[in-house]
Amino acid sequence: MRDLDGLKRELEHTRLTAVTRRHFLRHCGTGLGALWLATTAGAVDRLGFARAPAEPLAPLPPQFPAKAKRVIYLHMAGAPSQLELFDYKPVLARLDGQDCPPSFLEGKRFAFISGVPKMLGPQFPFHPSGQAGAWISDRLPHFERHIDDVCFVRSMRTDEFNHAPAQLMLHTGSPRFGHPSLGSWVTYGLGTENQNLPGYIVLVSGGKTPDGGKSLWGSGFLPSVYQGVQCRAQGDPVLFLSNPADVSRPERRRVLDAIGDINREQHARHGDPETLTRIAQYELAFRMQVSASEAMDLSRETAAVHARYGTQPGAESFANNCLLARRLAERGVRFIQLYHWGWDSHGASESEALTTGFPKRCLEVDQPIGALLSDLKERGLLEETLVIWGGEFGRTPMRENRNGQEMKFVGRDHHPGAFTVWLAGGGVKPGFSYGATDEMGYNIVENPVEVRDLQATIIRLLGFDHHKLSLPFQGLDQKITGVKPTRIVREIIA
Amino acid sequence: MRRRTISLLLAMLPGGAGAAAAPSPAVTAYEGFVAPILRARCVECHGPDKQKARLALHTWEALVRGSDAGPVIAAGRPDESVLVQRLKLPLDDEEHMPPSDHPQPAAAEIALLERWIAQGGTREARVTELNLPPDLLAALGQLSGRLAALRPAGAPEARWELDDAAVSAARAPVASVVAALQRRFPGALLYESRTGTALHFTTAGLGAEFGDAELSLLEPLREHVVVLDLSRSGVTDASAGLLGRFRALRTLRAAFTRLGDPTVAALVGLPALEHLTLHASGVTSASVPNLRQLPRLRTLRLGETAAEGAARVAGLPLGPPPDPALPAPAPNANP
Repeated sequence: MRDLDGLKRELEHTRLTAVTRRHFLRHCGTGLGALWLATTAGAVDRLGFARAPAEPLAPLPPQFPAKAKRVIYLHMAGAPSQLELFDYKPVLARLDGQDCPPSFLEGKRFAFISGVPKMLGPQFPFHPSGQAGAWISDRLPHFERHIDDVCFVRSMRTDEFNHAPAQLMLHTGSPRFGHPSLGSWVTYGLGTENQNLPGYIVLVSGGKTPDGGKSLWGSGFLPSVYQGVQCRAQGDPVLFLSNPADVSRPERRRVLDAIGDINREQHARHGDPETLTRIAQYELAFRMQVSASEAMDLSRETAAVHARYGTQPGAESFANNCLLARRLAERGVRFIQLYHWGWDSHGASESEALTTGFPKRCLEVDQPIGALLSDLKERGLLEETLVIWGGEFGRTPMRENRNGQEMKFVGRDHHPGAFTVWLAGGGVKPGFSYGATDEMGYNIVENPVEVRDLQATIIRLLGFDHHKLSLPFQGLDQKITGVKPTRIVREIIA
Repeated sequence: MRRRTISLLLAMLPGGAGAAAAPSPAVTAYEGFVAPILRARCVECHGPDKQKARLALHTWEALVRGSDAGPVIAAGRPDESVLVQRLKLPLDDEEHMPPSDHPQPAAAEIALLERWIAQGGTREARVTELNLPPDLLAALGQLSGRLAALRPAGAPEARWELDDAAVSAARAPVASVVAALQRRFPGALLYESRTGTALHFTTAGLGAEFGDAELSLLEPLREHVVVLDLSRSGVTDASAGLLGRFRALRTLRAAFTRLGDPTVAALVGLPALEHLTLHASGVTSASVPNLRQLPRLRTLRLGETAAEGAARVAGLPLGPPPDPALPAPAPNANP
């Protein structure tokens, strides 16, 4: 048995080893350490706005009146072919089967294509639709009912041609790990309305996590309280929501109070903002025990709703996640991120073929997206909810040929040079198309939109100047749009 | 660096509504009436947010630069200034500005702009140097009140950069009530932006426990709340009269509530209401005549109510009806 003095010495030793260079810098009163802690741990943000350090997710007003209050981002991981859905190219159809012109190949690097590939026409029939006569293929009939509420951007381009870096680029602004995701920036800037649910929720379907992994919803150098909370796709969306059999709610409360006291003491001593994150997360979990079970319980919806979405409670599906997204939007969650994997239509196998796997994926997403847009509209939520759909890049107008050999199935390679995203609600122009590609759908000929332009536009719709939604880190005012010239696409703002 | 806007200079203008005192010699015409008129009438589409025809009018530099087609002001020649020409085109002319479905400037406002351009259209010209005739002087005295009335009650003038002191001052009358309610209902009450006094309130995180008694606590903010979301709350028609006094409301959402016809009847006088959601509420077809009286209503959601059919017949802005189930497309259709 050690005596009390021994214990005290051990405690003091532990405390001293916890004092790091970072704390030294902080106590110097100046320098990077002080700057970092002052900005993250509270006081004021880059807009000069006071933040309550103990309530990192409390809602904050945007910089100026916002068009959108929340985001539902439907990311089609693997990158769906724009040429089979939204970007109609009759000339490409005529050239189907002909050799690709050398001008398309010179100086280009592809993920897989080598040698001289053949041009590949659209695999499904197109028709003009809606008041604006936007062209669309026959694969998305439920979505098509909302085509007059949707704004297409047909001239998206990115710098990356592999899935993980391109997904990171789209969601964090950098193809490398370690930067905060869009949802993290948004919850950092705006907090969240419902204090009993996470502000940034991630739902994954399609059988696989996207290639970029959990970094896609990471908080990077922002406090980790702003990272996305991934809910499980099968069974209970959140584990351990109920207390163990022998623990009552008051008892749980007492335990959290005691742990909170210790953590606050730690924070007073070391000033590490991650300690505040931990306190906030414990408290959120306590409140979620009641409210998350209710929010995530799809069995509370009527049979008619399930029929419209095509949902099955307990199954892993994009449909379930769309219905969850609607329930979370209704309950004031700020950023709802869905990933649906399986759009990488190279043609290497049946499930990857444009003629077989691709239409199956379309079937999986079409009806739930239609139902989600209907519900948001009917409940008056679409005006203030920004819905975004898209992949991480586009696909080539050439048929993929690996090692100069024609593939067994019909497919297209990755194409960073042109792809389509659509946006709906949240202050974007309804029934509008922006930008255009050439007759082959290969290069952008009108109004190119960089990934950072899209990010700046989303941030603008949420009521911020993207230059101001920033944090000093590693000597730079970091922001999701980076340091290259960035343009808000005002033309698509209603 | 924080730029100060000139919007507060309006307060320096002589007199309130009805007064026609001599303008202070310190005020330039640009600050005194040109910028306020442009801001109230034009900047929504030609400003920091949007620049239709690549024209912005919210700063002096932007005004001088003009549009894609060139300058909009010809110094000394109002008749040749595109700005004035567009204002004076017949209302049904496609090129008339502001668009015919927007509030139109008074003749005196156009006359003031013409007078300023005729005298050189400079940034420095003072109001007193324009030798305004008595009728325009009188109009100038009433201008600030007239322009303020264009905005929904409680909505602040568009301010894009403002110092903290001005924001605090504008919020002072409601600050203590707002702070108390933010403590009582965490996450529910929020200023619309960091630069204004308009408020949003939502019961998204509160649910059925938020009822009539709780709503009555918001009464002191009735001139400031522009978006009110009561969906899935326990609020009832007992609050109808109170809701009718929220005169600044732009959006009222009350899906899945017991609110019904008495509440709709109380909403009739709301001057700024644009979006109304009563999805799955108690409203019936008896409300349709009242709903037709809302002057600025742009979207109305009445799904799963007894009012939807009659409202559709009456031509209210409901949007297309939800379609029945669609057949699945053919598994593969190579054209």
